[in-house]
Amino acid sequence: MLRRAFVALAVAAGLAPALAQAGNPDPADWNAVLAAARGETVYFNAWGGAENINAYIQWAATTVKARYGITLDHVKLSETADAVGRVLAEKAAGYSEGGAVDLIWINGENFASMKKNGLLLDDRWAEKLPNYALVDTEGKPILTRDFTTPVDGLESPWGTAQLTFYYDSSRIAAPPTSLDALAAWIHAHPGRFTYAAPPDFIGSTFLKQLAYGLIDTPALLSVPVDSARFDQITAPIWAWLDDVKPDLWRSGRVYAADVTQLKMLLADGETDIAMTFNPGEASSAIAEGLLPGTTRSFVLDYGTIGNAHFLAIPFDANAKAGAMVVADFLLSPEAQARKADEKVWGDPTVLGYDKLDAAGKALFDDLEQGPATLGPAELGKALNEPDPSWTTALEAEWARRYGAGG
Amino acid sequence: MTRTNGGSLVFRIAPYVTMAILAGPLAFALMEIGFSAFGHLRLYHVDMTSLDAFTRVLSEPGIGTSLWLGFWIGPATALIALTLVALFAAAWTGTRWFAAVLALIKPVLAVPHAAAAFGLAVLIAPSGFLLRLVSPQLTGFVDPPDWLVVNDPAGFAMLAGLVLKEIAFLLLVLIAALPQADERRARFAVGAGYGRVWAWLVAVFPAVYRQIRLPVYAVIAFATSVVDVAIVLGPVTPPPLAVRILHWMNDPDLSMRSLAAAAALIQFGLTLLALGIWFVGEMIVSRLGRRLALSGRRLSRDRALRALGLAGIGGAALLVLGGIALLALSSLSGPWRFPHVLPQSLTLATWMREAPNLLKTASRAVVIGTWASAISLFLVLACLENEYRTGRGISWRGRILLYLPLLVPQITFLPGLTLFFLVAFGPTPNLALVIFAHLIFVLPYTYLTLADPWNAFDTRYLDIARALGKNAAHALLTVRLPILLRPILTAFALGFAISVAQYLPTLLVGGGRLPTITTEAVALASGGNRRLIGVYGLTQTLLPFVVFSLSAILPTLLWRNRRALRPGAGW
Repeated sequence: MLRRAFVALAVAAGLAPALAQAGNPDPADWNAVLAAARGETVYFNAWGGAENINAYIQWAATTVKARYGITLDHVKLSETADAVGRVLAEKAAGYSEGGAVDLIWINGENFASMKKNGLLLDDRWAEKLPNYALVDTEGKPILTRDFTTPVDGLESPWGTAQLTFYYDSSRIAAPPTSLDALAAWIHAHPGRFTYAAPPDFIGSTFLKQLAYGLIDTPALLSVPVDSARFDQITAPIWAWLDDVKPDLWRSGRVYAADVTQLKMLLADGETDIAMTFNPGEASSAIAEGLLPGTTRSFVLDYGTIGNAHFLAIPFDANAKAGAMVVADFLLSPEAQARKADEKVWGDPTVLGYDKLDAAGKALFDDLEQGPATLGPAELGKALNEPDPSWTTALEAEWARRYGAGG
Repeated sequence: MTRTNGGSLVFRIAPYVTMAILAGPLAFALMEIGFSAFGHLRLYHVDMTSLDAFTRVLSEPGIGTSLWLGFWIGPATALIALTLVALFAAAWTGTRWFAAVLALIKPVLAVPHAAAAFGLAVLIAPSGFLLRLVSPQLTGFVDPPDWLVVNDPAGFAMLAGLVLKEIAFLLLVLIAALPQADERRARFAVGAGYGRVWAWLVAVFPAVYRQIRLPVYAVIAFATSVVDVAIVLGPVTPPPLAVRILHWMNDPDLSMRSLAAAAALIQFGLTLLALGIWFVGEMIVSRLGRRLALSGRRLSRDRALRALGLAGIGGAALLVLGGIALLALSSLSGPWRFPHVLPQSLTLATWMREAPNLLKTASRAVVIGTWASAISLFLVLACLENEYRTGRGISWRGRILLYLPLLVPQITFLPGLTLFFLVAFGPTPNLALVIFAHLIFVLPYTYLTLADPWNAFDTRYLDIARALGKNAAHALLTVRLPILLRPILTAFALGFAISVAQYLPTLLVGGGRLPTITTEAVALASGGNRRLIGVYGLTQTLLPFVVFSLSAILPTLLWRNRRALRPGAGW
């Protein structure tokens, strides 16, 4: 209490002392981590907008409580950035321990921002987790570069994603699988297609997807934006969007808010094609009774954007050992197989099948895929996330052109 | 004698405690915003020169529309809601219709804004309930039509959502103020051949409006800067300024927080401008009204106006409650595709799965709400009694301070407030801090709803008590508080409802670690899952509803043998 008062005074006086950092748990000595973790409460900050995902986290909470004596509390966020802001504020106030956030579900810009601002636990803790050895780092380069930012062991892989479209096959016989065909389909069916407004992540992803398909030299996307040539390079993207806009849902005067609203619009019959980052989403929705059994998925013929999502621990987390144990548990074949189960969540695993033992392989062999899930071959090529500067630039230009009315 | 002294010490200290609760955090938070807006982002180590942030805000695409939306909806909401409420009160006080509609509108006050907005969207959307009722039979629609009803660029859907909710708030404060206005004057005017509506507007409304003026200002300020209703019903391309501030605040690019701070100050200016316009309007209306009143016109044929008042208020109540009923149905629904009027199947699965979490988060909201509202009530009563005893009303500066939390948009100063708590109390959030943060927002409303009935109280009753040998404390406890029981309980219930509905303070100050039913509901709403929104929205509505019901029933039970203490007595 006294020390807190002192810190408060010192910070108020503008001194902002760097407190001595308590020794962080070392995952190389896993037994010590397990011992330290017992009895800890881990506040897991994760988006709370999906019933099935919340239920999965609840299952994990029950399991780690029974096995490791850890209380896992799901702090349901509407925006991951809320948690980023919280950690920032703690750092600004001069604290380096006892923080409110123990574990964050994160990727992309939020990760880049936390990394740049030194808000994450380092020491490559994620690579030292026992189950990290099973991760398919060779086969899935997206697990070591998060939206092109090197992961550097600052976050532990949790799942992968690939942009996938879905539709009702009783209404559309052959879905449009190229951008030309999509534009023609939109013109032929006015008001039946939309995307989410950037900077929502699925909306920004659609822009990047268009960029890969429309600009002359897609290789430019893997390097930072050349702002002098941005207009010239991206002109085909805006031409495509301008062309379809009058025939979009609500004539392009309103866009969907996020990935879940895209699904709800399809379920309500307001649109005919939706998109998602979770290739198992359509099958899950069929199983749930939300979408008809004739729902099917498709991708575009030049490949679709793929990425990964991760778990990170803030530098000032209160329960670092507990957070590590939870991250490791969520990486276990048991937890990963359950997550990949479409009846539970349907999120593809980060583990390499060949690295698993017989029992682990059996868990994945037992999974059934729903009628709307594409096999690995059908899913096609995964395109890399462009350099993060593209996301920002495309979002800003979109806002200028379509986010300002008219 | 010692009891009186001890008591008066409490009364003397109360104003200072109240001011400290409001001033400390607010001053720190506003300072933080000022720093951030002018480029000294101490928090985030971003360097910008002094006016950069403002220039960048004003060069954002579509900013003109956003500013306009952050301005006009406030006065428009207040104007429409107040007009309907006044017409209704004028035409129907004391009638059975009044009591019936009042019974309908009370629950509306308990409905959180977000839940009301979502209910309205589910009703009026092209795939919504109203169109399903007549499709495909009357409309021929097998698929929902591509109509822009919800999220219209001009903001009419948002305006409608706000008006529905604010009607309930204004009607309730008006009724709380009514016993203090001399309604007999309207009866005399009616006796003199005036139309009922005109008689009431001329003879009673001015006195009532003086009492509910500050609640009206609060409505304007709230509607200019509201976030949750705007997200559900408001324009998207571009959204109102307050929503954009939230986006900038959440942007992972930390320099955007400086934009958010600058925009927050701009929003503050817009809100003040809206209030200024309203103030000018007040003067014009009062001058015109006086001229009209003196013209001797009696407007005895006012059937249309009466009907409008009844239809407006009754319709609003039905829309909100209908929306909530639909949320209830959604919470139980299996598949429910257009144009089915009802879900194809019903299931309790969502309720069952969420039950433990509902219980945990709802009981936390009750604890926070009860404490925040009770502390507020105690402080406000002590302040008001002190004002009476010293004969000095709250100072002009004190008044401004009191209302600042209602006039400064929440998203403007909450990040600063969070930092203040971090610095003062450490990084581990606890319940007391959350209650304290809620107190900042509950206190003004408690004062707002209670001050006018309190000051309009006929203090001759107290003089009589004193003349009968009772001391000041005794007169307070046995005369004033019982007579004012109804407004006091209303203030408590309103404070509770406001606490329960708080999203940003709970989330930010609690570090997300102390989720209440409301933070859960909003987090879940981001996913657009109607079943979950139904379950949480309904539970969130139920809490304040119970407290409001109690506040309405208690005085009636206690005073059932005291005719003069019942509302609308004598009519």
